[in-house]
Amino acid sequence: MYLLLVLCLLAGCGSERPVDVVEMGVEAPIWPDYAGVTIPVGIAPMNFNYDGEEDIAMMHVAVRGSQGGEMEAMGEWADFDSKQWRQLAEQNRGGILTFTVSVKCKADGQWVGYEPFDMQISDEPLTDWGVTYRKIAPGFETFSKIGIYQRCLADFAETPILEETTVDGQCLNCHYANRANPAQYSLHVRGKHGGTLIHTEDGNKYLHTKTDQTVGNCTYGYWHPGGRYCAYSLNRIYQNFYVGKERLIEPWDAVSDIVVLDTRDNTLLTLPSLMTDDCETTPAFSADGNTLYFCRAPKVNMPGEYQELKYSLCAIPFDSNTGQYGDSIYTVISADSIGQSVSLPRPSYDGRYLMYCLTDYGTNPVDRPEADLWLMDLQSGQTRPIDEVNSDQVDGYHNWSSQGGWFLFSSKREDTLYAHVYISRIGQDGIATKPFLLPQRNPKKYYGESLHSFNAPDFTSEPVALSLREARSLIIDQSPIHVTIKEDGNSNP
Amino acid sequence: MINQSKIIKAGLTVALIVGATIFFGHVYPHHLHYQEQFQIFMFTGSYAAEVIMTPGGLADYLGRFFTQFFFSSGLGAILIGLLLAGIQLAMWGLMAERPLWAYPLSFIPSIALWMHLCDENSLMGATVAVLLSLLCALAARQIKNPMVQLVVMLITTPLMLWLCGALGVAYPLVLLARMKWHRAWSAIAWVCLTACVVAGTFAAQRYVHALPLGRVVSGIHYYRFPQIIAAWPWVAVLASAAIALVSRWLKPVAKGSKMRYAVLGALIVVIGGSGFAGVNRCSDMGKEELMAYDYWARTKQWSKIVDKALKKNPDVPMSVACLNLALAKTGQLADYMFLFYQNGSQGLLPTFVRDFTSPLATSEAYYHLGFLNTAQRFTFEAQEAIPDFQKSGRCYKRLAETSMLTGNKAVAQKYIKSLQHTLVYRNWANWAQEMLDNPDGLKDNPEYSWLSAAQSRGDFYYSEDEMDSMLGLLFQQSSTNKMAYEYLMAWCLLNKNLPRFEQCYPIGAGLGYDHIPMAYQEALALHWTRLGNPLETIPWVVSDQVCQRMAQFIADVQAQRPRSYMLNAYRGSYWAYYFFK
Repeated sequence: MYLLLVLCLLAGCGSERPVDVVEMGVEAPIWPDYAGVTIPVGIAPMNFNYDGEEDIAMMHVAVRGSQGGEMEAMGEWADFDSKQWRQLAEQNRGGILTFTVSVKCKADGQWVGYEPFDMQISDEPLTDWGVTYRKIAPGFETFSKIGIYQRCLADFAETPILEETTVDGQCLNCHYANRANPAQYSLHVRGKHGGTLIHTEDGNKYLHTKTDQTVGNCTYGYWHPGGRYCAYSLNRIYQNFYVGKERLIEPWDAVSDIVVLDTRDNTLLTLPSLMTDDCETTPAFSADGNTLYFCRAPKVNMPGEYQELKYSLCAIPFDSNTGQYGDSIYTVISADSIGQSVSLPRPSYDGRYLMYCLTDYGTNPVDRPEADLWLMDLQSGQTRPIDEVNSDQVDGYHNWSSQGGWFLFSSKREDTLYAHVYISRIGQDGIATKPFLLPQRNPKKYYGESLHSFNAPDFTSEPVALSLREARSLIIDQSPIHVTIKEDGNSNP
Repeated sequence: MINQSKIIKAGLTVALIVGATIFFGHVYPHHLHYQEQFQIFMFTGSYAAEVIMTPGGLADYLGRFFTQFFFSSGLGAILIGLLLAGIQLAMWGLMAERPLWAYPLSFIPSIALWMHLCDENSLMGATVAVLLSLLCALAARQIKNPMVQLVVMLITTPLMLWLCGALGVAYPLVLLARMKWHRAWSAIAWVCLTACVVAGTFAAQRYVHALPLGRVVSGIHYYRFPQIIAAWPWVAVLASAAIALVSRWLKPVAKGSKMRYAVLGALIVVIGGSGFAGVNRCSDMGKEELMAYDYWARTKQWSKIVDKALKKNPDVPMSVACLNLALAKTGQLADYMFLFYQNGSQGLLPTFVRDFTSPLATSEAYYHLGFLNTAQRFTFEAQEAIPDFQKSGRCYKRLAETSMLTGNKAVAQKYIKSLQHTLVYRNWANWAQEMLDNPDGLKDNPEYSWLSAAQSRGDFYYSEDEMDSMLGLLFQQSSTNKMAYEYLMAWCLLNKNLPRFEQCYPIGAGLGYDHIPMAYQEALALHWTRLGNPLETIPWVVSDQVCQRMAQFIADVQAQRPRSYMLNAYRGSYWAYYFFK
């Protein structure tokens, strides 16, 4: 009897519909700002919260597809049913979803309605399973619980790939996959048991990448599309801290060089012109693997002349058949000519574009509000800021989806301190769509309570499967394999 | 007789409560304050789920719940007393035979846990885990049928291991130890129990796959450093099992026999004495003193710091830094800093160390100076260094304050929202939320309005080697920041850099001193004479008394008086510091 009563009450609550709605005639105050974004079909429900001034008792959202279908959400926030959402999105592939938001004010029970807004459903699929990222409190020198995580794009499930607790307090650095391939990635670990974990289809190995002839461990990596080589910069990173209230931190490289790791025989392919007194960093192979991009800045007196440290985008041919570098390095974008500094070159996997980050100086955009994403059309050579996605805060650490088109990046636009993941798509016309914040079940609660930055995000085509027991054994219990320098700079085919 | 027995037992239990309350409330109160600041207990479902969904999570959650009350050492001490008494009473209830004379035996697990709590890094989760395990055993004891009891025990043991962590093994251990079963039954029970514990542990480890097996076996939430196994809780568990086992053979002493009270008295003396000695050995009054300085600095009880230092000079950088901060906040730094022990500039603004304690005390000084970014950084670093990955209510509050004052409303909002879910910080957080919505209200708060105006601006680098330049720039930006000026002067004096002191001294002319502070007079006189000038020609208004004393000091130096004499005769002067420290 009681159960019946409760069910009746619940049913009654669920069936409440907005009545006598007073139309405000203004945009719906929602967070995250999903109005006008373009989303892929398989994305998790784009839940959002009311972000207006009123204290609300309830929120009602009606969604109607341009190609048919509709659904509703009602509650504290717009929490869409996953199954219905999937069906509606699928039905409206290439179409538009229109959202009509109304809220019931707590004070007087009055329903208030807002102007409807649209989300475009792209007909370009995002085939990757999910995204990976490192979650870290945006600190300075000390780190707490760091972990590399993966998040399914079709729902809200997040699972750890590797957490700091598994490896006894070692600092986990960025995870680099080869074109979103979970079967091939590298992961740099710092600390007493520091090294580089290389995961390939042949299994895991843990490398000690510092040699007598190189300046440091492998740090920022990028895989050759062939899968045998991985380019790294070897960085000795320092940090300065600001006292004033405008900025917090200034990371910089005291020394940095470029090498390529041959994962077949654990050797480093070196070239004197990539290991100069200048700073060379953040390498990336072109889509065909025949070019190695990197950033280079002439050495200046640091930290005093930090504002003079400006990186150019350079390139050198690379032959993966012989493992040989080309003869000459050429400059793709000159820092002198643009007066700014290039970092994090990321060629699209279809070879059409090269996305990079531009800052006033330095190579690490982590605390540079001016950091913006730029796009180079590799066919025309033209570059432009991607104003469609840039904000007045840090935008960087971008990566492409495995099948092209879609890309993600980190941005601190929400609060200037915590980086969050945004996703956008470059259309055939080269124009990017309005980016959307990685959806969460209850975004305001999730992001509001999170004290982590989502660091160095990337797509992953399938879930990453790393045996934690094996990873721990490799990192903690076993001695790492020491890499050596390949003397002739060649590699056996 | 029955009443007398009850009175004795009640008296002993009350003595435990009172003893623990007095100890933790009056002898060791700052250890409780210290504990409280390294966690933030939030009354939210997500926080509860996050904590409870780990092996030992319920004990940890309840431990954290109790720890939040440690903000008031008196209340915290009473809670500890009650928890220890609960364990003692549960232990007594679990003894198979319970003659009066054996009553003191039931105190042994509680005393072991008391000793555990003397360590500043011990966590309340262990105490709660033992209590829950014993209470569960007490409940299971009510089942009379041994077979049913065994089945219940086997089913509930994994649950207890999950809820209480590895210490949950106390539940089946004590239960089995006290049972007078047939030998075959006992053997089966022990085998089943072992299998159950092993399976439960592996299952837990598989579930929380991010943790190594060793960590799950030894317990996760009993000690702040997860790699360290806290010994005393295990002593308590083993003692509980041993007492339960021994209790099977305890015999009552004949009524009316004098032996009855003699044995009771002897046990009270032995166990009580051992407990006293153990607690005494496990407690660290040096750390207690250090924590007191930090607590008073945190709660802005400046006069308590100065009073304490007047009784006993602090001598480690962290406590000296708190003292100097208190002297500055009470306007006494410039005059009297050398009346106290000084250990160089490390006692003014200690160098950053990657741990979770000393940066907090240092950040207090940076905060009050107006170096809000640096205070924020030190606080953030301290919080990130908390070994068991907890966050800190104290840090959240400071991070919210600094974010609010530097104008980063969105970040401040994050911390304030979390603090609104706490018991201790809720009122402040609600007020801060109002301030975020209406920033003009900050002007009514003297501390925040002053810091808002005096905070450092501009993009210059933090440098421990150039602290004098940093302080000088800070003062330049806000010429009413007397504390920045006095820290600049103190920095020069503590580093014995008299030329720099002389160079910077005049910039404080507009601060409205009615006399040249004593330490400055002594430094100026010293500097002047060291340049080979006669004291009579000194260009600053140095008192006759200082001049005469300086002259005497020079005479004593020329007479090559021994160091001990000079230290004694010129104790409290800058000269003693300059020449003999």
